[in-house]
Amino acid sequence: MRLKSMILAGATAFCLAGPASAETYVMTASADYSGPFADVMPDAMAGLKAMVAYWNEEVGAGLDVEVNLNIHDMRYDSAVVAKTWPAILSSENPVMHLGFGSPDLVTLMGRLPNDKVPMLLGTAMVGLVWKPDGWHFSIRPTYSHEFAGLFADLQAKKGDVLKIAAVSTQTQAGFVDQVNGVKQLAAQYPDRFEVTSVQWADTSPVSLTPQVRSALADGPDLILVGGTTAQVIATAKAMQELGQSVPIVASTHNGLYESSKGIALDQLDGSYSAFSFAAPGKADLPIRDVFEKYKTDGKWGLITAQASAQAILALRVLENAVAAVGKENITGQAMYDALMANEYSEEQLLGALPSLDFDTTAPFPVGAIKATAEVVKDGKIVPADTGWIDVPQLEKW
Amino acid sequence: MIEFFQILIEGALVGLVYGLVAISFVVIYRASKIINLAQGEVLVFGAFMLWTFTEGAAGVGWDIPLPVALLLTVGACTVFGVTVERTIFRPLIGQSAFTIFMAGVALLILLRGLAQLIWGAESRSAPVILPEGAIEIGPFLVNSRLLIGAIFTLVLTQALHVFFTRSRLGLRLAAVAEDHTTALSLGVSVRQAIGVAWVLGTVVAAAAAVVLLSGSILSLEVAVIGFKALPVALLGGMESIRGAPLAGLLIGILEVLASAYLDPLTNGAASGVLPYAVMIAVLLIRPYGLFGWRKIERL
Repeated sequence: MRLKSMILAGATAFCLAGPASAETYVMTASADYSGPFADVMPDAMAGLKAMVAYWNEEVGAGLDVEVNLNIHDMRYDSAVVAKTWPAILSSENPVMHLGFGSPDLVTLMGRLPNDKVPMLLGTAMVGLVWKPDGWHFSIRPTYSHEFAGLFADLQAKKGDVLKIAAVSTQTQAGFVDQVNGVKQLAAQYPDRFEVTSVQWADTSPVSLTPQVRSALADGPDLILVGGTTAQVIATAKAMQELGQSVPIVASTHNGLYESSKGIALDQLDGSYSAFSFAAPGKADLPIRDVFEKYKTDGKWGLITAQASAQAILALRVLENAVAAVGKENITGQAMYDALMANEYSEEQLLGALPSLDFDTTAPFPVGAIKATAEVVKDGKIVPADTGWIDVPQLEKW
Repeated sequence: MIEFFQILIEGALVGLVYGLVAISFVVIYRASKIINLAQGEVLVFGAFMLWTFTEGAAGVGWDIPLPVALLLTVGACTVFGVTVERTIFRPLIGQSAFTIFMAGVALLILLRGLAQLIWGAESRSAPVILPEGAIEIGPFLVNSRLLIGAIFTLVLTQALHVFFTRSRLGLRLAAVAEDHTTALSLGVSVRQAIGVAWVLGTVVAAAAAVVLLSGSILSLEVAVIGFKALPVALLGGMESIRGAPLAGLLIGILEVLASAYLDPLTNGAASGVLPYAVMIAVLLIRPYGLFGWRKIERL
């Protein structure tokens, strides 16, 4: 008995005298394995997982901090987010939530300041939620900012007023907001941009020929289609029918990769997809190398690049939080403070994003906002020759 | 003036697609007295079956010739229609219209979930079955896909009209639509009639999917066409096969004119609201539609 007690005491003392165990913190993430983004979700989550694996091994080990990434299938459904989040909050105590799209945004933005958990989205923001003092942020500015960046580059190359026609839908507020933001751009810079017309259509139109004919009558330099993939395809087919070829500008959710499922890429030659994280095909992209080294599944592409960018920013915020409050004291509040208090350079973000700065005035990066784009060239999607483009300053609309 | 007539042509062609979907509502109602709210989802099922036998099969190395794939789709739609009738609507024979209506709502939710479960929610390419591009007819450009769809709609309309008014089976179906109990008392098989109605409805919906989606993109969102076509069916009259394409023409033309001339003044609202405004107006003034039978049970 005495011998047993001595052995036990010795073992306890040995354990206590050993190196302190790493502090473990949870970051949660919303996925959509059964909703409209189900097909791209494995690659998106592969991006998050690869970045966390990289960080735990190459950064966290040195800080004695480990991140557990818990992924939840929210099905891109506000109701699922609403019923799942309280359980996540109470059982997992996340220090940051990596959100995905408007269901997370509209469901959680009101309660996050009370929950004291900041949320970082990979999807672009909308002007509708451009309000101060939120705890919801995106790595990307609004869709309109991203379009504005590409338009600024195209306008500079043209040297004259850039004429923009738009096709959108009234059925989703976010898509109307995109158009309103571009109208704001034209209102602020009338000598550079003109919105020639806005054609409103169904999300899955039978045909867009009348609308596209009407849009083309004003001689636009491009047609902005920020809504659905079906609209991008219908616009391209309408132009083909009318014997016209004007570049289409889309976003990421309805961009060139998605549209290529329904139309040959050579029919989209010269069309763009505008966004504000590094194009996956960009030369010398460190985050791509990190992904390839640490990935357990998935393949590199647009959605992987977006998710990887989202994760690396969250992890850099954690580094700053550890530096500020110590590894034992990381909370959602500490993460929020670290996000607000620091600037994040392109180098720190492994080239995935331009340098970012956040403050309490907006749910997206402020200051010198930048965007970039991909373009279809010779039937292939390639990074546009724009690099990072300075987005013209936009007043709130 | 040429532009005005060009707009009219385009509206008419789009309207006939609505009319084709509306026919699938009408054949089910005419033979079974069921307004199937899930008709958009039925169309999506037909489209996914077509995808399965074309792009899906090709994806796993089975290149099925298109005519065979189309036949397989018709076969699968037949099985699907019979299954829906046997499992959901046959047990409701003789029940109130409200009960059947609510079963339709349940079917809508069920089919959405099933489609997601079987094929997933992601968008995918729909096979190219009809020719792309446009042909010139005089000074007008006419979309080839929609033109073929319009001709198909008109031929199908006439064929179904003859079937429902001249054939013995068609007349039996009409008797069932009048009243289940009366039809039973006259020796008409209500079960057979409803079964035939569902098979016709699903096959017509699949045909509409071909016209609507050929060479485009297929997603669960496509089901919204059902709610676009329902006002067309109501406007034409729920029992009128020939009323559906006529109402489709009317709605399509009004929609495209609203899009061209009123949308710029209403920030896009006019063309979106118009089909539903017409539906409400018709229900208020002529609850039986332009060409429907005057006896319609109100819910």
